[in-house]
Amino acid sequence: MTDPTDEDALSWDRDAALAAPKRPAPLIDDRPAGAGAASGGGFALLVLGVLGGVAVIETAFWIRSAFELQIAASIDPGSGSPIEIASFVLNVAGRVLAVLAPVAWFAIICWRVRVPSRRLAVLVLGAVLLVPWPAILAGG
Amino acid sequence: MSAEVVAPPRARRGARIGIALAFLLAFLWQVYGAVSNLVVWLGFAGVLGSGLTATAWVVLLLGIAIPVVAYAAAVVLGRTRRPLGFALVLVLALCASEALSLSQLAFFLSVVGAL
Repeated sequence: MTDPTDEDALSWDRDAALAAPKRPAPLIDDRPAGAGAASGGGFALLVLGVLGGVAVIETAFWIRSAFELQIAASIDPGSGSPIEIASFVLNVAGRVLAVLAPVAWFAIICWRVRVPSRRLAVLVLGAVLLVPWPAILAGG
Repeated sequence: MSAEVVAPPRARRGARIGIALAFLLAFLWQVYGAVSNLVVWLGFAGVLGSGLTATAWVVLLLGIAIPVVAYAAAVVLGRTRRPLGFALVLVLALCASEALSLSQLAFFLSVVGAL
């Protein structure tokens, strides 16, 4: 008890618990502070990778969604008066935000949410919320 | 020592209110778009001499609800955070709201818009 190194050498469980999360973390997490605590081990990293891939795919389909005929036709600069141009620009900005949504969600949640379980839950919620329905409905 | 680094609570509260008001404009723009969409389709249905179906009403009202719910949820979830965290929550809510509104519009056009 008084000599922690001796205890560690004998205690298999604690040794594994201390060492396991630290090893895979630097490969993907290059954040300096609390990188070991932020990643929940190999499986969590795998799930994180899958969710990141889902976010990229969703973004690709959101790009298709934004250019889908009916959706693209729902905004236009009209006759080109200043007010119509301004509202068109705002609407295009909104479409850009929609396209960026899955990747932005993934990046910001990974950056800001430190608790692995909560991060996973919020990432799954984002993946479900941000399904690119316009492209899916147009393709179906 | 940390009091010099971290802004005083009152300043942070003011920053949060400013951020909330700035984002409110973006969300209100979305609500305006959804309301005008409803008005246009009501007029269209009126010209055709038939009212909107119940499903159309639900989907169009959902379009108004999306930005309202997103903004309210973001303010509730983010209000205890620092200004940067609060702004990021609102950014995500705005992105998600735009995406969900597009989904709602696509659903309306392809499924309900056939009247």
